[in-house]
Amino acid sequence: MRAGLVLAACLLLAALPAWAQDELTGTLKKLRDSGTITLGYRESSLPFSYVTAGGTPIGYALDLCREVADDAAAELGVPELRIALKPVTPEDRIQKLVSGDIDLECGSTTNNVERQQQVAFSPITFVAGTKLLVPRASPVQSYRDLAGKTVVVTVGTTNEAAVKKLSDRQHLGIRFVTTPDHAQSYALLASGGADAFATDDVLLYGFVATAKNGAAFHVVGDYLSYEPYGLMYRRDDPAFATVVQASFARMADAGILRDDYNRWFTKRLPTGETLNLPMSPQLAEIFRLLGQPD
Amino acid sequence: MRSQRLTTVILIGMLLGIAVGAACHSFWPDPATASGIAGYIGLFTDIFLRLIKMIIAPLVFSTLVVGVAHMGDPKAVGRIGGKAMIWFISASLVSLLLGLVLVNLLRPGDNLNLPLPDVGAATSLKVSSLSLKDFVTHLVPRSIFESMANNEILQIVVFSLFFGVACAALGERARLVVHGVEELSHIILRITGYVMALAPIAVFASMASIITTQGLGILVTYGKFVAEFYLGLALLWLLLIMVGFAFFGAHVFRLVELVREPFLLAFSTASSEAAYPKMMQQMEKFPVSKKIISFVLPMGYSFNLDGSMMYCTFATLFIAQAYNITMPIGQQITMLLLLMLTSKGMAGVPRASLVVIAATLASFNLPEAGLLLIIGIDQFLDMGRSATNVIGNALATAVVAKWEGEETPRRGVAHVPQVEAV
Repeated sequence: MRAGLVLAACLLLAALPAWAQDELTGTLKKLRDSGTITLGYRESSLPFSYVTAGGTPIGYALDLCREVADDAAAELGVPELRIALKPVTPEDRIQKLVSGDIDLECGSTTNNVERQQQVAFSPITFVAGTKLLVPRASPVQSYRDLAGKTVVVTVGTTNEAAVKKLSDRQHLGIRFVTTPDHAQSYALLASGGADAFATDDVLLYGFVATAKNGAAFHVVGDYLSYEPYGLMYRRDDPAFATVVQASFARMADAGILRDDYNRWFTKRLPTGETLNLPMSPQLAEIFRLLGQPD
Repeated sequence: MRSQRLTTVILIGMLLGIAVGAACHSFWPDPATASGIAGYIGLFTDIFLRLIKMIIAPLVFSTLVVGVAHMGDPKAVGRIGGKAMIWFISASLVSLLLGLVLVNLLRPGDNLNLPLPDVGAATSLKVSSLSLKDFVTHLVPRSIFESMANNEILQIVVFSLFFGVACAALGERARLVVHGVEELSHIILRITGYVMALAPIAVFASMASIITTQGLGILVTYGKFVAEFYLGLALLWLLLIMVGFAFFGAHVFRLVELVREPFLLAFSTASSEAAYPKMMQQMEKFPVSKKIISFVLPMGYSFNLDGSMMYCTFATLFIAQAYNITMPIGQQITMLLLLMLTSKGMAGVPRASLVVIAATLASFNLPEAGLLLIIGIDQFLDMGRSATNVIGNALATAVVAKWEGEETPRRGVAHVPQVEAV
């Protein structure tokens, strides 16, 4: 009899953790209860997340988010989750995520230590960074050729700070001109008022692809600063973090990350542009680390 | 094709690849076009590497089963495994230590002439597969077909050990199977010969495609770091050859000559795996018995990655130096010992060295953004690491064989080389 009791107690104890695991918490619980996952999108962060003329949000980050949504549905054992879309801006994206307005942010957000205090990040989806746009005929091939030259930067950008710091550290004596926005910076370069325009490479490729006379310029050199982008989700949510990590491992293994990258960065976009931006060696290595076969 | 000639052809393929790659890179400076072209050139490398992957699992299985079945005694298996691990651990410590000493002497990260990633940038690289529990569980296959399908070498080794020991225990009753597996190993080695005929083209294509995409300029940008790392690797080769000299006298140079071809293969494809089948054949010519090669070599591919070990200390401290962070020597030693453990636990994980470095940076509060600085040129460094791993494993196999009392060439004893046609 006593042995039977002990056995029963043991069985109960053994069953406890299993039962505890069944009880969902955090984002997964919210997804199961509502049957919906809400993705936050950006209105004009081409090609990561932007709105077509018809008003449909599309983009690289949204495609990745839909894959994560599929895996979350599989984890919950439901055929699919309804996908709701809500716009976010750089100002409100973190707050909307933390408050539960959105469940996954699908844009172009830099993963840094400061933001990690508030949110969690997926593995890197893109490495952006400061590069230089120069006329094709220009002798400038790298920041080392900029000594004594004039560089235009857009005021208040991280690129401005990065290039100024570099100029000081390497004693290049670069002359800086600033303008209030990227279009004006480009116009200044195009009119010959500067030798180079420094900003995020993805924007520079955008100018080459779409701006008037863009083909007369090209992007040169290595990164002058690095901005690793990731998708954001709520932190301190280990169950959902596991889903996101596993989803990226699956996408890497099946070559989905690489194919999605190529669709949005090297092929013609649904909206007509072609960015012609091949994968950086850094991102290629990160995808391999996630498990993409060679 | 005779081995000597094949090596020459591979070398020519490599140099030609560099030249063609550099030409393509300057002819198509537009990165999108260049990467498109590199994709087509790289096709040949992909085919070659796929063929290698195709033969690795049956090769490891058949040679190891035959080797163990002929050993007869399960104790011999344990003894050889133990000796191999002792060698692996000593070699890893030496490699880690060499990296640590060199990076402190050369200080490649000081006054770095490169833009640094912001300290605050984070990579969120997943580094959880470091636990001992996961590692031990992962050693044991749950299905031999799954292990073979995924080319999980260590799992195949575990299954083959069971299979071979059981065959030996059954003796006469398993004779037919052992005989069959032995024939299988001959067939696979013959296929290896066919695949190797493609090696020069694969080597050419691999070099051409890497350089078409990245150009040689990147090597100038990272000049000091790359040059000093390769200097370190060269010192490690020298050290390994000196140790070999202590064991085998002047015969060590014959060993070096034999592994030239796998060395070049591993270098130009940045894959130690690509060199595995050829390595087996070459080591047999040294000579080392099949039973030692078939056991020590696949284990070495997981536990004895000397080039990768050296890179771990070198790169981690390079990042610390680049960010002007001083690490006291005590902390550096702790780091070395930690790397020793984590790197062994990561055996079999692809591109383990970068993951190990990410984990080390995190545990010593070094800026993980530094990874972004080194992964851009990892392909070029991986070439050197893979080639170094080949030398390390050649030596490990030969030394364990000698330790087991095999008739490996001794100091001062003349040996007639037998180069057989492949």
